[in-house]
Amino acid sequence: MATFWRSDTLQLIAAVAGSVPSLRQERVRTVFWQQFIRLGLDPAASIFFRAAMIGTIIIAYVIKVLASNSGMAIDFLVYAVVREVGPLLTAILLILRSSVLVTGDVLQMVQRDELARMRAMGIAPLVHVFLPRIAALTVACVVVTFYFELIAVMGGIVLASLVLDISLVGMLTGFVDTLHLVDLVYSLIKSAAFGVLLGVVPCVVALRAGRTASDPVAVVSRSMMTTLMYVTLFNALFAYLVYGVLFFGIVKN
Amino acid sequence: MDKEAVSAWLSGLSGAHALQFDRETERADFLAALLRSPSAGSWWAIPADGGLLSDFELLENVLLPALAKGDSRAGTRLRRWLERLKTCGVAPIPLAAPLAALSPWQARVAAFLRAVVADAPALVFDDTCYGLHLDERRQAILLHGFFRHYFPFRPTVYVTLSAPPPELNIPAGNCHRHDTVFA
Repeated sequence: MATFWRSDTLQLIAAVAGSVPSLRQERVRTVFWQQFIRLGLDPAASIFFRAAMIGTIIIAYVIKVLASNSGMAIDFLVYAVVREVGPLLTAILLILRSSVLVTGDVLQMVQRDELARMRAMGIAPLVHVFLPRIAALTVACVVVTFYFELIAVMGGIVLASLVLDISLVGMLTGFVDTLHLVDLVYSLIKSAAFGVLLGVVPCVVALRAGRTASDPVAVVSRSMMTTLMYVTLFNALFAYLVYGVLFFGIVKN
Repeated sequence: MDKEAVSAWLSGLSGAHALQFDRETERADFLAALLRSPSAGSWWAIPADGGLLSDFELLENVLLPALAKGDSRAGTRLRRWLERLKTCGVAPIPLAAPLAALSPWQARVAAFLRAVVADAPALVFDDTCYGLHLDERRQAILLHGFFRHYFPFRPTVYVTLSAPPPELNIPAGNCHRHDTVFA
C-alpha cells in the first residue's frame, strides 16, 4: 500500500487540486461535461431497477425474515442504504464501468506517447486529460450516489407498500423523521472521496504501467482491484473516524 | 537513445537534412527521445501515423497547440494554409471527420497543419513517403517543399529507413546515418 501512495501519486492529487480553477476555461469545461456524461450518467441508467430492488429487499427482509416492524425497516434504509450501501455500491458500479474506461484512456495515451506530445506542444495533460476525468468522476459519484439512494429509498418504500401492505405515508413520515442532516453530509463527503479515488487510482496505475506495458488487460484488472481495495478501506476508516472518533460515539447507531 | 544527444545534434542544424536508420526500432527510439528531449518544444515531429491526440476532435488537434500559446490568429492561419495546400494539389482533409475515419495520409496532413499553424520553429518529417500511394507520395514531397519554401531559414530533418527521395533536394552533405551521428 505504501508503494502506491508515493510522491508521484500525492503530486498528482495536489496538482489536480491546484488546477481546479482551470475548469473555468471553456475547452476544459467541455471535456469535463463530456466525461461526466460518459463516466457518470451513462452508467447511472442501469441503476434504477437495482436500486429499487435493494430498497425493497431490505424492507422485506426486516419485516418478513426478522419479523420486525416498518420502523426498523426505515432505520435500515437510513443507516444501511443512505450511509453505507448507497455510496459503496455506487462506487463499485462506477469502478466496473468508468474507472476501467479511465484506465484504458490514459494507458492508450501513454503507449501512443500522446502525453509527451502534449507537453512538447505546450498543452498541459494535467489540465486537459487528468483534471476533467477526476473532477467528472468526483461529481458523478456524488450525483449517482444521491440518485441511487433516492431510488432505493423511494422505490423500496413504494414497492413495499404495494407488495407487503404497509402504509406508504407512515413509512415516508418515518423516513423523514429518522434521516438526519449528518447522514446526508456523511454520504455526500464519502461519495466525493470515492469519486476522487475512482479518478486518481486508474490514472496512477496506467501512468506507472508505462509505454512498455505488454498486457493492457492486466493493467485494467490491476486498476480495478486497487481502486476497489482503497474504496473499501476508506469506507471502513471514514465510518470509524466519523461515528467512532469524531463524534466521540455521540452519534450512535 | 539519449535524449540529450538528440537535442545536442538537432540544435546545431540549419537547412534540410536527412537521417537514415537501419531498423524501425532505432527510428522509433529516436522519435521517442526527441519527444522527451529539451528540444521537443522547438522540433515538431510529423509522425507516420500523424500523432494526433485521441482526446480531441480533429479541428481541436490542429488548433489547440497554437491556442495554448495564446495565438488568437490560429483560425486565420489555418484557413490560409488550407488554401495554399489546395492550390498546390494536396487533397483537402475533412476537418469535421472523426479521427478514426482519417486515412494515414490525412492524419499526416493534419499533423503538418498543426505544426505550421502553431508556427513550429523546425520540423522532423517521419519517413513521410513510407506506406503511401503514388499520388500521396507526390503530395508528401510537396509538404516538405512547402515548409522549405515558406520558411527557408527553419531547419528540417527527414527521418527514413532508406535513402531520402531525390525530389526532396536534400544536399548530399546533409544526409546522415544514425550510427555516425549518434556513435
